[in-house]
Amino acid sequence: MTELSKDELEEIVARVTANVLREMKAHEAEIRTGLIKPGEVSWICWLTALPTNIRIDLGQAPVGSGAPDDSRDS
Amino acid sequence: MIDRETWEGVRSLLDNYAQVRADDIVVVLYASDSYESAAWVSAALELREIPVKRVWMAPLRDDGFLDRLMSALPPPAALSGRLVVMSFERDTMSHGRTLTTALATYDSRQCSVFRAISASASLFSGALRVSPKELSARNTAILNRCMAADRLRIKTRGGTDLNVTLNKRYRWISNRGAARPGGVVVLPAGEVATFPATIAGVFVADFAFNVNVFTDRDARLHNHPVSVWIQDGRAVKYECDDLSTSRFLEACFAKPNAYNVGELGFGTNFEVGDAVPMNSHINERRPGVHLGFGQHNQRRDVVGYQCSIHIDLIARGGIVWLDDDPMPLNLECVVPSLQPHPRNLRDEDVFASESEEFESNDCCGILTHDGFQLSSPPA
Repeated sequence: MTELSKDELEEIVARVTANVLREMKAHEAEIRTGLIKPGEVSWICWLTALPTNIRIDLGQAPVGSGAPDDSRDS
Repeated sequence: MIDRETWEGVRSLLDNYAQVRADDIVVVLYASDSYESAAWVSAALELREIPVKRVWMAPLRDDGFLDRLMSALPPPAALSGRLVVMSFERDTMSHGRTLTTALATYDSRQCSVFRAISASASLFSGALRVSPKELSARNTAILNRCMAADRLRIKTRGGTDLNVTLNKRYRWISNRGAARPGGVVVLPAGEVATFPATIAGVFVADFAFNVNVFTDRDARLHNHPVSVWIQDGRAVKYECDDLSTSRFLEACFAKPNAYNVGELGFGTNFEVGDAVPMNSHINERRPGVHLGFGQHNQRRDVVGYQCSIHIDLIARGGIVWLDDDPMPLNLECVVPSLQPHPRNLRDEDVFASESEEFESNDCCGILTHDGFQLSSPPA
């Protein structure tokens, strides 16, 4: 790829960014899915049998409620 | 607009990871929080005159995503090169099943998928400037020693002192940014991990946390490290001088089974230096040791418990002694191996937050609307 000057690169990035923003705003206007809320499960590190469309309250847990309750190993 | 290091990361993604060619077709998926990443990659592709289509997605919930994605994908017969799909999200990994369904009709050898979480300038200016080749050599160096060991002693400058035993029934995961047919490359890359058969001692997380729930809390821990005392594979006590962080940990550990150590991980991405404030996989890839509490990284028939939360506590650096070998492994100075990377290890370590009714072995098949299908026709 031909090396660009800093100004040339910034010009291209600005133009493409403006296009992306325009596309994004159009979709956001059409689709109202709501924001992600604090505590929503956003990824998992391995497939799970548990429901993941849940919200975990990270601010109001009762103190001392976290005693281990299951064997660690199968 | 974009600094030199960030632009180098964009070019590294295209050259070293995706290895895009003139006859490829690239589809860029992006959430609103990652529009800049989509724009930078689109600009770089435009400069190379490589066709690119963009698909916006709402994170986690988006009923229209499949239709928008399908309308952007080329017919499989129209491909002369490869279909390269890249997705960018900051906090989430979304729509995994939808993406798998949409790509099921493509020959897996003609399709590469790269999914970035923690999309940001830091992702490109740091983590992505390291190539998969460099990460493979470091992962190999660690794996060749650890996979042959039965016992580890792990210490860090911050005060960690852990005794670990390993068992070959627990598989290793190696995230190194390398693509394979039918697979998904999870970015940022640079980590090896397993499940510790036993683990006990004290762990001091003085770098950052990374939790699988959405939070805008500052993830850095250098000003208020978290000390966790571990017995029989479980956290039995933890301390942190910062009250707010203590309450946050209390909430995390309150979930059933969250006390369990579900992961022992070693970051290998040497371009990750200081921690970034956002809840991020970038921090987890830093050279050093981290423990993942809660959900584990093994098959359900191997490790039986389930947990809705996974919180990584990350230490800066780490020295690992293996069995009776007097020469420890310094995680911040890993000598790259010239040997081939071990085969048949799992490489994906982040998945869309969708529960699955069964587990694939993630190397030979894909989940479609019609069930489990081989990702490549039998020879």
